[in-house]
Amino acid sequence: MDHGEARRLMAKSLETKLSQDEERDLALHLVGCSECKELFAGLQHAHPALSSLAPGSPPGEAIDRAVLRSTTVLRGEADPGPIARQAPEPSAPPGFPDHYQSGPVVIHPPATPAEPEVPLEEVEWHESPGAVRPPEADDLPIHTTEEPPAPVTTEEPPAPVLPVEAVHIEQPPALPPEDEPIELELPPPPRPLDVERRPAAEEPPTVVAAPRSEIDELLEEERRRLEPIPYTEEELEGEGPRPGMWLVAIAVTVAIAVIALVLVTRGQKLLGSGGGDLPKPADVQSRVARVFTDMKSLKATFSIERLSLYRVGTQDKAAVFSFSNGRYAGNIIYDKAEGYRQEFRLTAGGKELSRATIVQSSDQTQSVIGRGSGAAYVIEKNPPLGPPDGAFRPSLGLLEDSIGTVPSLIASASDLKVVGKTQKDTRDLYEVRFSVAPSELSRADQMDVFLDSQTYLPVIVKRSISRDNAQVLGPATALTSDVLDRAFGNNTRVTTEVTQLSNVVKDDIILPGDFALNPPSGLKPQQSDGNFEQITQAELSTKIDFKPLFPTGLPSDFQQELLAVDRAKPAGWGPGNSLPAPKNVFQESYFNGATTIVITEKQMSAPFAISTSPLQGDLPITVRTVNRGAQTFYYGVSPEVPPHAFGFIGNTFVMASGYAPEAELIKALATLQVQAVQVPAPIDLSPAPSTSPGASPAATPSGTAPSLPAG
Amino acid sequence: MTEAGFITQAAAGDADALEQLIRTFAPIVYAYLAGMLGDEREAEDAMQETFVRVARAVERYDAGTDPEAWVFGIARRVAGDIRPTPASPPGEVPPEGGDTEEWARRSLRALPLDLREVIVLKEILRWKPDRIASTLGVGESEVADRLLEAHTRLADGMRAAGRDLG
Repeated sequence: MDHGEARRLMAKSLETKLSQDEERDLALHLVGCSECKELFAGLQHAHPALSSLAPGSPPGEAIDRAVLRSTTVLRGEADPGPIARQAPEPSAPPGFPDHYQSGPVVIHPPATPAEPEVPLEEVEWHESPGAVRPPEADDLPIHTTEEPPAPVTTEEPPAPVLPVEAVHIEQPPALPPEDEPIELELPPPPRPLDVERRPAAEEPPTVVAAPRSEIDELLEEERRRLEPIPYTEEELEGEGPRPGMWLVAIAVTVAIAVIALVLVTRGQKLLGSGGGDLPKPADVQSRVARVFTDMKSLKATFSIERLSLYRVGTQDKAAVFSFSNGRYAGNIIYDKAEGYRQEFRLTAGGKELSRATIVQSSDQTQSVIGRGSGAAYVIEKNPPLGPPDGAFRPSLGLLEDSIGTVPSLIASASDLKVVGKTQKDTRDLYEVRFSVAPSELSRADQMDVFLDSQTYLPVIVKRSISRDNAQVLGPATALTSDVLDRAFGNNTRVTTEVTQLSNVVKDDIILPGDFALNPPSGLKPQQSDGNFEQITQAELSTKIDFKPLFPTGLPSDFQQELLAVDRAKPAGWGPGNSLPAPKNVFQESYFNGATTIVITEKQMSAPFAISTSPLQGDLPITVRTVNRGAQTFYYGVSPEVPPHAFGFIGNTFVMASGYAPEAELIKALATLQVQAVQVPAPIDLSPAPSTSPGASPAATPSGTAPSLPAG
Repeated sequence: MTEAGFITQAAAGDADALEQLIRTFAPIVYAYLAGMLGDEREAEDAMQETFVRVARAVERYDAGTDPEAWVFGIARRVAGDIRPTPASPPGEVPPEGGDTEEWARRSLRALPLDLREVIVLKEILRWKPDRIASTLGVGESEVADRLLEAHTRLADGMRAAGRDLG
């Protein structure tokens, strides 16, 4: 037998048992051939080693990324490029609970409507304008199910270790400068910045320096902008101190100042230094406050993992919830002027709970909910701007709750620390940590936020909470101590939410095609008309026959977005339409780039008792009474609906809803006033007109005496 | 709906159908690419690239083609386009602590594409020779030859390492 035949038999022996003759022949060859003998020994070891290479299943997150990118391409949109895996994070957060599913939490529906109508003639009412009926003792208890939740079982296996991920941020094509002094038209510095001077030893080894080419480009860009001040012959020939010399002196002085400012604001990028030049907390608060206000558009892939109550089904007509780690995965294209397109999938416990693609513009909402043949394609024209007449329509979609709440939480943080800087892909991130007041809105008592060092956009937001504060995660009737104990296990603190943005492109141009919905073929749309006609400020005096109220206490960064009036026939509303029909309904929405607040006003014949939320659904809504001076309002929150404040001002039921702090929503209601509408002045044909033709008829003069609606 | 139906529906713009297709074939595509590239992260990226190409190609799908073979063919082209992370040749760097798996991964990555592929299909995907032959478009004898050559190279490497890995 030659070597070739021996090797063939060796290979065959790996697959099947050799015949006796083959075995004998091979053995005889190996006895006389040490080379083949060694080879055979190697084969016998190599074969099982190769078999051990069989990989497991692909990570679900990797499949999700493939689905997201592929379906984007299928729709004919631009390939977003490789969607990056999210790598380990720079600092380990506390983990999600070990027992990530509480088991079923059954919420039995109320036997009667949440708020029975109180006959109007029985209402005692203070006649003074603005007064609100004080809550009766019977009104105060939170109306929830009478039956306690079913015993919680935890048969589910312990949670898998959640993927600890980092963020990939693509370089935005054209980031606008962020108030940087380099925009000033100033004389050149006396000499170029010498980045080589900085001793390498001063650079912390953990920080990756900016590429040399990038430094050069930045410096070159600065030199190009800072053209020298030209001298003229007249200046040079003048007597006394020559103006040119003064200019040079000023130029040198100013240039030094510019260099100092550039180093402060862009020093890390220019010099590649790190740890020692982290921004100050106050700077962080200032920048984060502006990042959303200034944002014109956003494209991003997002994931939101949240410990919360999720509806997982029904049992004997009762809703069944699970206290679980749910995960929203999707992407969003947002345009400040146009609206957004958002698609997402919600999974919990390995089960898909919902999926939707939503395209929201100012005058309609299109959505495909569900998948395949069971999907619903809905077009709602003229929708209500928000509760209680319709779904809340946040301008930033799901990100409003998770990311949009960050600026106000950072702004109110008293112990904010910039704890470090890390680099992901080509971007630097600042990590800030701070305590927050535990609430249903914050869902945390501690937060870690990673901010993009250039834009200050929060790209990773982690929330955690201690066991002592965990009750804010859901209504007490559903989230019993037993459920929480099981969820926390032996942990005193758990992560309650991790939001991550990747593939972020900020302030890019959004094309009309980016908002295409592309419903599955053959799916017919279910069309509806919400009958909320949008009006402008100028039409207030002509298109509605009542005087709406406007908030005067919203933070200054909130801009009015939409006004709408309900043109439908007045009807009952609230749970089971049990509340009396209003005479008029008016809505207005405000947006600060991160948070939407919708204010609804229902003009009633008379106020009535309503201390429980009119949004009551299956999950109990926690309601608190809030007094503001002589006024009483109520604040309701639940994992199923956005935070909302409500009450009466005169005969007008008012509600403010949005992912804003409780105090902000209450203040929005407490400061509602009739807005003075300027009547255009008669045309003045005199040479010197006394009124500005550009004056807005909707402008509200400061100091306008408030008056309350006639009701 | 059949797998071919997923492709047809995807060609009509049905993103859900494409997603179903991806979820159906992701395990086999990933296993193949992980074996070919020797790195799970690279395999994830390559899997993503594969299905992007699938999305672009659904309109050209011939309804008579085996869907798995069609998708797999695209995955093969992706694997061919990606240069695996440079690895030490077989046996050059002996495994530490008798880590035969790491040695095998490294050695496999260093094989030429055609030899690596037969090993992956045979040892990792556990395909039978006739299926391998059909997929590669060669005869079964050619598959056997390539397997022998690949095994020999791997065994040579192991022998050169001079380590008893057993």
